[in-house]
Amino acid sequence: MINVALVDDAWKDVDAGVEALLDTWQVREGDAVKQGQTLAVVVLVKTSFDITAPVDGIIERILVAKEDTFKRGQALARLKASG
Amino acid sequence: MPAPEPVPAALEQRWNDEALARQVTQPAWRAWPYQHPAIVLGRSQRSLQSGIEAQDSLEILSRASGGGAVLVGPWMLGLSVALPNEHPVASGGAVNTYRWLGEGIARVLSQIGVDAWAISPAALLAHRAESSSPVVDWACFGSLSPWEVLVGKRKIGGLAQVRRRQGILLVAGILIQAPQWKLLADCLGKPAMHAHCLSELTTNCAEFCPAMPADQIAARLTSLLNLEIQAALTVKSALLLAA
Repeated sequence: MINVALVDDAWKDVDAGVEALLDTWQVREGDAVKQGQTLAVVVLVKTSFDITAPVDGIIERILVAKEDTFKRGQALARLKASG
Repeated sequence: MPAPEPVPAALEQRWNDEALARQVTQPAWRAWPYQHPAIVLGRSQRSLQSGIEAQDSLEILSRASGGGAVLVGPWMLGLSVALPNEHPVASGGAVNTYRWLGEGIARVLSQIGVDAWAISPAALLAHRAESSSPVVDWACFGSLSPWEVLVGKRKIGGLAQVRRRQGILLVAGILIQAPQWKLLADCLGKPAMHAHCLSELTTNCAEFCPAMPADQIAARLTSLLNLEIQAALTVKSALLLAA
């Protein structure tokens, strides 16, 4: 199982305690996804980031709902790799 | 260099969308003087749309970047910069990328007599700790983020960003004149007090260049921004090639 999260680089120089916003999910639980596919869009410090699938697989669980906030390092979804 | 003709705000958003519709392989940028007022909402401001009062003459647009609502119009100069993901000015994370643009805008403003500076994350923390000013966080110009541009303690330039697989888009808005803050607050169903706060929290180029008409300020800034961005991206692109 692979945790999908906002990359560490996005949080560089961001104050501790600042949270990001999960703007939209573009997939649902159970969806098959391809590596590089955009799964969600999140916003941190006025910057929107695409969250992409690290590998081919199935979205097993969405852990942060649309319009909820999340912390540095927090998993947004669990992805079950194909094959 | 002649100043670009004022355009509808929708054209800027279309340029921005198209810039990231395919892989960005070369930097591209453009300044935007605006023909008419329009409200541009940040991408997470859907809830504001339900409160918008019908305005025949005012276009309501959404942008891909985050942040608060912006009232664009003849009082503002917009800027879009599209960069490849691997470009050196885009390395080191989103906050560091804001630094490059914020400091560049501050340098350009200084050249027309506006003593501007870009606020660092540390300075921003100190500002928040000592400030008793209200935060009008639904509006871009009602709050501060790292490396946005101030004169003294008042905001003059706002920044936002989009980072995708295809590339990075930086956008900025620089206040040339005082916007019609009441129009923005009224249209979004916000209290009149918020318009007053926005007026107190911001400044604009015309306050420091009273003899220069707004269109000349916009033209001069556009010319200087072109030079500033071209110089920065050329130097950094050379570093990229040498790496």
